[in-house]
Amino acid sequence: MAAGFNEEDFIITLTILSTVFVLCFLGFQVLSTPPQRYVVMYLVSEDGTALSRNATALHLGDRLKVLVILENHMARQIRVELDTLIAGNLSSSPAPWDGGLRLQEQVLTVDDGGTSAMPMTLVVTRASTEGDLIAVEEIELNGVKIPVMVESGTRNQTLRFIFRALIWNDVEGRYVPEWNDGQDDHSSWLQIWFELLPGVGI
Amino acid sequence: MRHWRTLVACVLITSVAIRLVPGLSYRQPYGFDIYDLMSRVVPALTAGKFKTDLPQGPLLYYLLSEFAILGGASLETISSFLAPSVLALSVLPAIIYTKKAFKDEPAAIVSGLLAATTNVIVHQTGGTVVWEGLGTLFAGFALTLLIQTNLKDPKVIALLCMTVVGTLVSHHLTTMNVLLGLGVAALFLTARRGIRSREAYKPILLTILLGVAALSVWTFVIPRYTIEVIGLTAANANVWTLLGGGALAATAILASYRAVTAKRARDLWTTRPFTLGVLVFAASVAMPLLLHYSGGINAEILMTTLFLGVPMCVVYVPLFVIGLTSAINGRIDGRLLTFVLAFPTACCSLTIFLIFQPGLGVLAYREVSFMLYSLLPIEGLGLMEVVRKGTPARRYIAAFIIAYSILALASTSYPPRSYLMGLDETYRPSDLRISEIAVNAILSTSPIDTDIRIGNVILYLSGREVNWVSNVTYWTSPGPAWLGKSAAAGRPLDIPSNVSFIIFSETMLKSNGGVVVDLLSRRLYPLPDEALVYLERKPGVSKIADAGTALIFQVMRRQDEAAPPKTKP
Repeated sequence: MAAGFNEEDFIITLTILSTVFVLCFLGFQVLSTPPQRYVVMYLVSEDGTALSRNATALHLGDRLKVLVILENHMARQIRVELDTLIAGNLSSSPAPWDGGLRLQEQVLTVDDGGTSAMPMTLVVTRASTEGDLIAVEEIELNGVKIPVMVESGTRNQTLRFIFRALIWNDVEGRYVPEWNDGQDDHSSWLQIWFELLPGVGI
Repeated sequence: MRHWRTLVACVLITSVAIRLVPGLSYRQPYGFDIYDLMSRVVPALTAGKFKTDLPQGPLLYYLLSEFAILGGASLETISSFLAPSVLALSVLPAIIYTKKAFKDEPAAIVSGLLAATTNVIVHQTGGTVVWEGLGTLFAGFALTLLIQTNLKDPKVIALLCMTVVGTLVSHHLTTMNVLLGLGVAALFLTARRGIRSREAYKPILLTILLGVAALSVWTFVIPRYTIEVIGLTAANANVWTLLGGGALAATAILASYRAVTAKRARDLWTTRPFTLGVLVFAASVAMPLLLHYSGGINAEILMTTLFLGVPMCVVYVPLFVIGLTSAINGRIDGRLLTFVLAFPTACCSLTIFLIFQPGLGVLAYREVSFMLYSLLPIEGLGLMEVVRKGTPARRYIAAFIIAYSILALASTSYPPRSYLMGLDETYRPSDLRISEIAVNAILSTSPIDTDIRIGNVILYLSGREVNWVSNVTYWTSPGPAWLGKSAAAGRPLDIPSNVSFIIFSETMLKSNGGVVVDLLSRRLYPLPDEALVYLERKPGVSKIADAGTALIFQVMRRQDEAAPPKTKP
């Protein structure tokens, strides 16, 4: 085979081999890069823009209106349980929702490429203060009054509403907080800090 | 040579294929600069004129606009597929340059293959769509015309003027390289033939003309950027860095002049290419390790140097030594050798000079691609010299070894972040979607903090109508805001009052091997994981968007601000 292998044979072999190798590399890269799958969750005010800076300084009875939007890019239909929680003082747990009280859970189905927008109207309807502590005793969520007991400091935006998406897992047969994007596990949750100011809202 | 056209076609296919790897894999543009580039094109497509400066040179902006208008495709599609394919044509001047320089068709094909697959050349000529790619394409054609002996022919002169002007309006640094290369050629020819010789005065004249044109364009047409970088280099330098850099740059020029004027070179290595290759491999691994363990370079730069540098050195250094020896001993015309060596010499000198300048040494990497590109004729000649001296059996084996080396060069064109100082030039769809949400939901006046990677995307999506507080207008940056400063400090700092929104990406996190991308003239730092925990647990900082890999935080009313007055009807 190699006998009589002249410089022209060399350059033809080198060029063809290099072209084939590079095309194989291209094919490998394309096939080994699966499209990313992901879930997006975000919240905006009713007009679709981010909340104003003062929107989270609430008086008793003030309405905090937000849209929680969920987008599905998982290449399959997903069933989601959206939990709404209220939390006060931060716990030492790394999960920010630990210690939070569940106000509501909504189950929804989102098609691949689809979007779901859930309007949320949150009102603190009853609270009591004692010294530097404030205790939220009742919340109205989308018109439903829910008794709660959450304590926090009276100032500095230390109360939170948390929105957390749990996704149905067929293998485990339950809603789980993690979803996989093809490489890593992620979870979807949002959090609005708010402050309860003295007085009654309009 | 038989099959010439087929081989050129194969080289072109290889060139296009390797440059389409990111586009076909991710189906979106690759690299940070393309989003900055597109952000300046978007207003032109909607308002009919460019609203901002066109840094580095206007031609690529015009070209992208015309592709979008005439082709009707989106800017993302053009930047992912069409622009890399067009910039892949930069292999053609490399083939013509070698063919004209040494009248050696197999060497020309080798040059083309190396131009098509060398990692740093791929990165700068279509792997990422940057101004340099277009500049290199024009500069390559300018080099092929400059080595023509008949510079009297008006057609050649007209073509040369067109290619030089093309380079000038494409990219400032490539223009600088051509300018310096012409200067070095003029210097060599003057030293050899005298200033009054016909051979010397033409490059001198060309250098003066291009120099005046370049200065005029940089001062009046694309103000700020080029002159500013030169000014900053000078401002950061001191007499020792200037003298040290200048002295070593002059040494490189003198060594090159010695090669041009040498009557004969020792051909010790031409008969031992394999030994030379092994020695270069050992040296290219040992030197960065030595520098690392002596404290000269950090671990990130070490990994990058080894990943990109070792395959490059193993292919380029032995072939250069053998090619240059062969060119000298083959009695190649002195004028020709002067031009072939002048451009890589100019780039090498500028690289050495820049390495010595504080803060701007990292810019030296941009010189490497053009230096290697202008070395291609000697590389092609070097390989063919080895092949011609070998036996048929060795030629046969060499074809496979070189093909594997070319694959090694090509496959390192898109380094992952662990081999690129933490930089991730790939965008995940979730990163792009979170940027889109930010642009749609956040008022254009609200100050946003993010890094250059995401910042260029929000500039593009908003048509530059976004208040990115740590925006980098190339060299006039106000500097990083919270993300950059916390990364540099290694701990989360207080959020400054000029930040209302923070767009975070997991590519910034230390635990992911990422960095907060800033100007390359600054050191890049990873964002400590505590910074993300700080944002998630800081009262008053709400998390308003979550795409898994990227998040948006909103700084609500600050703790030190007075509560809004309560209004009652």
